[in-house]
Amino acid sequence: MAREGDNANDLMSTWLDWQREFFGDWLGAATKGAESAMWPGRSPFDAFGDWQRNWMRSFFGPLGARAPEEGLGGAVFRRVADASSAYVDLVNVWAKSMALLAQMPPGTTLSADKVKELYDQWLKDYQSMMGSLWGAVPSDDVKDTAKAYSEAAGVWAEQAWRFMEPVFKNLEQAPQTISRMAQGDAGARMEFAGLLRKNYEDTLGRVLRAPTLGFFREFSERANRTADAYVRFNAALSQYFVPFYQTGLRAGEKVFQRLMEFKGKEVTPQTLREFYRIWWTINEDVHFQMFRSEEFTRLLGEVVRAGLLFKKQFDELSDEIVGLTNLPTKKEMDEVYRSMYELKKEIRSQKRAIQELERRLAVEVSQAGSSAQGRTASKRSPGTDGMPAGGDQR
Amino acid sequence: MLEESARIQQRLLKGQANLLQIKDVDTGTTPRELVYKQDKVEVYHYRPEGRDVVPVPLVVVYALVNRQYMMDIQQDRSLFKKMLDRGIELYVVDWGYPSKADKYLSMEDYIAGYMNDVVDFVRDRAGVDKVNVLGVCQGGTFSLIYSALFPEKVRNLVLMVAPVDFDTRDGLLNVWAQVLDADLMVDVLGNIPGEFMNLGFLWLRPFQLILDKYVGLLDNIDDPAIVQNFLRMEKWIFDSPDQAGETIRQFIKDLYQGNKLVKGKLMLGDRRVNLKKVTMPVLNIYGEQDHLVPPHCSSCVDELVGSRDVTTRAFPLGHIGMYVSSRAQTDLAPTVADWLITRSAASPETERTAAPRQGAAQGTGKRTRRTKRSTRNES
Repeated sequence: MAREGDNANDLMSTWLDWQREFFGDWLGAATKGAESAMWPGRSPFDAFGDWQRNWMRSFFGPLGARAPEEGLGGAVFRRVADASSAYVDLVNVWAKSMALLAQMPPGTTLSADKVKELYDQWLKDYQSMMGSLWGAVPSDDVKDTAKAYSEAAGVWAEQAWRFMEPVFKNLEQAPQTISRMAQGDAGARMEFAGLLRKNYEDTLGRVLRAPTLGFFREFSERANRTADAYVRFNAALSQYFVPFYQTGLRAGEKVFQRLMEFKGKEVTPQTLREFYRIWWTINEDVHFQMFRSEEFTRLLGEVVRAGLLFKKQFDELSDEIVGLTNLPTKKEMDEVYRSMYELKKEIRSQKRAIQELERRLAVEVSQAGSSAQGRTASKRSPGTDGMPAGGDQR
Repeated sequence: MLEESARIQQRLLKGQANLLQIKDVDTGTTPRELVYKQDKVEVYHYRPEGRDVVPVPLVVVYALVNRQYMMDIQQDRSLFKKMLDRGIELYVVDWGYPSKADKYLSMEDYIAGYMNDVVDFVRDRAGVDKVNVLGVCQGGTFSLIYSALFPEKVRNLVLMVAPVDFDTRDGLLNVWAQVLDADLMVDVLGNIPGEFMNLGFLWLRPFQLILDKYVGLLDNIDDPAIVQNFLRMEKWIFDSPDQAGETIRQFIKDLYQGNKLVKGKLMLGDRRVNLKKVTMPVLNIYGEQDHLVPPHCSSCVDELVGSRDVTTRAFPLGHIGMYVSSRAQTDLAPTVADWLITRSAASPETERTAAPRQGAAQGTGKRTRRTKRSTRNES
């Protein structure tokens, strides 16, 4: 589908823009870094904090922050407002849909080409609405992360810029893939994302993973590894979002088919509500099928793994920085936690042992008391109950 | 359409006026007493008001995910209240909020440690050899494992939406868990953040849970009762403790991925969990529309345990509907109560133990239970 091809091109150009922006920012920061070893007005902790927060936001974006500071009502209002915004977007799509349907007078039969034309026209609005719902690919969060990344990592990555040209040069392979994408080949999108990753691996990634020299060698290498892990995470994140795009298209086709049912109907809030219900239930169903697919599951596993590997590198880098201060590192705190845990476990075990001993002692004291009572009783009135008074009588 | 957009704007304005003033809502309002505390684990005692009290107390074990007050979310939707009305005395475990210092807590610590200590505390306080146990969701899995390890302490076991057989593709959690690198997750994150878990739950039905639910609220934004009810649910849904690292590691690897409980290969420390040792009466309840714990995960219990008295009941409800729906109040709660009452009649087992189990408890409450037990026996 030509229109889908356009959308694919949109997606790709957004991706490329983002890549350029991303590396451009990085280059800018690196240049600044060459001029000044520090960020003006910011400490490395600020930058790393941004990095961390943006990583978290990439993961938890749809959920948003917990935001307890605004109170329960405020947090719920924010969610209601977000949902309403999506709903209003859908109302706008509906408005445009009605205008389209007006081009199909009742009783007329449209040619397949005309239906296709209307569909393509409709799909563009629909996809725009869905984009605002899920976030464009890449999402604003990813862009924010890239910005934070450019601020944080640029200083240590100056040497990497020489290799930027090959990255884009290698992308010359992309046009064939782009052409296939334009022809509606869904697999080409995955291939394209994979190609970007491969190019990165072959060029910049190799640099970032290479050993370095100098006084700050270890730190520099660690920073580079973190940067490398971060790029890999974002590459995985981009691939992860591809099925959302494909699924959105699938759902859009289904919604459009159902939209035909509204042809000639009077537009009322009830019909709008009905359209809304059809829209979200179709999407729920189609996305459910996507979520349980092997492809999505694999991508989910990869993006989580890539995010965790980045976090691992990031933590090690943070520890390196924290190690220069008198604050405990994560590793050191883990040792403390481990000791606390083992001590607590030991105490619990000792308490249980003491309780068991106390219980046995209570039983023995109780038995001994009975025996003593019996002995006294037998001395006072021997053989009154005719029962043995106890072992000590023997 | 302009009309609809304007309507939405108006409702939002009302929502802003109504919602922003509400900082919090009451949940879990049934009177209770804190009677036990160990580390972050607390136990609350709920005492029935009437004199006709079931002789065996019920220990309620909720999941580590989310919080136990879901079962007492509001007075007209409270399983706890329904139980208390039927004379069932409750001891409810609150697992608390694990911090980073708790990342090494394992399933063994929770089940053979905390849970066993709580059960011993209740046995001692109530003066009984055995207690009834109600395990909910993940707490049901824990309760089943506990009952296999310590059958001598459990009189009756009730499982509610408890995942047991994890080998299914019916539920997205079961599918997604297969690709999670649990070792890497725990090694890197320590505890698994509650937000991470929540994100997974929301994405099981994103359009309903992130959109439609809130759009629907707008229609009722003027109704204080509906808004309050909605906020209670919201509070509960997003009140998600982090998951202790070592526990979630084993839960994912051994249960979601290895399905070892069903295979008889699950180890808790050096103990093997053999479900055939679950010989006490079992009531197994699950939801036919449960998307978190699909029916397949729960319905097999009768084939796995050693008990000859297993009752399985399916309700046409979803996971959360099992606690808060009107059907849960009118049908499910009486089912559980009737089943427990029938099987908790006074017997030599439920009489006070001859020797007090000295020091078994580290409770914070006063030990007035024995006197109360005597009164109960007299009545």
